[in-house]
Amino acid sequence: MPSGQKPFEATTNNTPKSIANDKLKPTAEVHILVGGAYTDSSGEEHRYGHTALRVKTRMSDLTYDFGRYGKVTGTFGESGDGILRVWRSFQPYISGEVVLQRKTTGFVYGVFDHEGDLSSSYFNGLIRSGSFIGGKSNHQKNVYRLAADYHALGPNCTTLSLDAARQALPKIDQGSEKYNKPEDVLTFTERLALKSKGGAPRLFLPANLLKFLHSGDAVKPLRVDVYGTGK
Amino acid sequence: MTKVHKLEYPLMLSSNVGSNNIHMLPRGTVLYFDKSYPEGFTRYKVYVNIDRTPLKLEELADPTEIDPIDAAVPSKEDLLKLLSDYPLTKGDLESILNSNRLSKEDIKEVFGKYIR
Repeated sequence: MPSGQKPFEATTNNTPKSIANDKLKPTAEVHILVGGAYTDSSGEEHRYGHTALRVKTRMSDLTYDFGRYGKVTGTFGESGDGILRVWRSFQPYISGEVVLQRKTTGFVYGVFDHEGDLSSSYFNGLIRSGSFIGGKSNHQKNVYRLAADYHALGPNCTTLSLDAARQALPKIDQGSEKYNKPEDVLTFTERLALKSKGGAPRLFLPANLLKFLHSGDAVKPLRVDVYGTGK
Repeated sequence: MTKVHKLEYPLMLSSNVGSNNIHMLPRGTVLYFDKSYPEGFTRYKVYVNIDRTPLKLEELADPTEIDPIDAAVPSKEDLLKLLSDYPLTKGDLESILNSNRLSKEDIKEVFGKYIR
């Protein structure tokens, strides 16, 4: 207590900025990164896309990238080990996407640090049930095999990213069901495979997610960042 | 028709088995295109002759299973490690620097540590 001030006496706060405003301003960001189609070096176009989640708080900036980065199985290579790559900084992740001449759209949502941490905690729970792959981890990323395997129709990059994003943004995929249109993206054979699996009850394709997040039915992002060229 | 690529610069190898040593796929290795994935990686086949060393074989339980290892262009940090711990030839070094995967700033930073 400053000298001369009586107990319980009110003091004037000389902070030029409003404390109330500071407390209401989001301190963290959740980025849903949707990679579009790309054409590989053999000339084949891949329309399926790829989704990752970036969680940026005042303490960390991690990008969670789930895919078939290990053993692959299935007639079309549609399933495999569920490998989660956690990038320690965003630049190497996005540089890899840009090299493919693939356009990545980042839907950025403002949240508070503790909300961003909820998304990271979701991934940390999956990591705890999985195993660390030291041989594939390096200064840029940590690599984990999760307990659940990957399947192109889910659990996949999109369903996992949405499940984690929902921890910070509970309404993030509300209303997305009507955008679940595999026929927009999948080939005839892939659609047959989907049918044989009994269909997909929720949105799982990055291209469908892109359309949904751009629509007026989705939570409005703080901003939309675009990286790279391409579709 | 089979499509191939002859490696113009060496790649860093990694697998599920952790190792403190550096392993590289040499420049000149022929990669046979196999399949690209939506995640953004492409799988290639490499044919290896192992001379007069009969290896024990086992049946693959799932005939669709493929268990690849990873290969990547050396990053700035990898290059620092290669220069100190690996018998990198002048040709290998030149090819990595010409790979266009390292920025001029990265290259300056690496060599700044040697040129004082």
